[in-house]
Amino acid sequence: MNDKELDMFLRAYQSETDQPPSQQILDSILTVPDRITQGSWLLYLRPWHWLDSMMPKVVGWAMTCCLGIYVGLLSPGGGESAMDEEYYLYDQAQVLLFEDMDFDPRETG
Amino acid sequence: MLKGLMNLKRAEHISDEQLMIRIGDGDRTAYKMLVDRHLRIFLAFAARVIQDRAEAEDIMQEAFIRVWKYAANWNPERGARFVTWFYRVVMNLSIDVKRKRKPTIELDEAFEIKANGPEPDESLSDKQMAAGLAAALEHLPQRQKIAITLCYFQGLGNREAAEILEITTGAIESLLVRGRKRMAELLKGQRKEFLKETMK
Repeated sequence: MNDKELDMFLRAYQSETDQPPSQQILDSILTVPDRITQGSWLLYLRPWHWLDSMMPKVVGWAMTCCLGIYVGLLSPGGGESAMDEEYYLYDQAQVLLFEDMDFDPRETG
Repeated sequence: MLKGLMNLKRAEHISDEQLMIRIGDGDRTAYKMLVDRHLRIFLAFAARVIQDRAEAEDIMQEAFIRVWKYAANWNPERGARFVTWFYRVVMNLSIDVKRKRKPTIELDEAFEIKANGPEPDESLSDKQMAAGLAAALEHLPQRQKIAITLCYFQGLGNREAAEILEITTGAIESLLVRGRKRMAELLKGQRKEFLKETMK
């Protein structure tokens, strides 16, 4: 089959399939705004909406929290504050000081 | 009367994208205008892709529901064209419907569709040619079929069709050439057999 013949088939198909829409479908489509709510607060009442829109956010926040805890635990200090460490060392130094103290027998009499 | 005519004239200059913004604000007149502009073209497109008028009407119903729902999220700054977006919506809905059902018409059966009157000569009626071509289209791979539908039946340019299918213009041209070749082969064989039988 040559191009000219094929074009005849294409034209015939095009005209056969180009029909105006029925009044029924036109009416049905035009009443869509009466039947369908346009993205309002009612959307939040549907469970699938929560699954669709909230779940990614919830998962994202949960992962951020986990990452924060993990990084926090890995950081040096293991959660002990600098002030606690100073006190601890200070207490230790005091203990050591008392242990190494030489007593002067004259003082004790 | 004059005011009405002026409004009509002004309405013609409103782009589809501007109408989408108005629909997003709940403007029903804008919605009606968009339906009036596009229903026939897109209904024909859906019917050509799935080859079933009733199912095509259902698809258009669903497509316009999406227009009404999605319009509030329409972002004009993205620079998207309404027609391109809507072709994709209708195309994807049609593909989904098609996936769910079995093939309908066989190529050799298509030519057996009789026209209203007897066929006195070798020529086929428009109805028979259309049925033959519809059956041949069914034998093409989906992308070839959609490319042919967009460019030959919907009257789009190669660039617009490429944008809808999200491929290059070169790829569209290649799909069209291969599609035409395959259709010519399919129709050639079947037409000869049909003519032989009718001449007996």
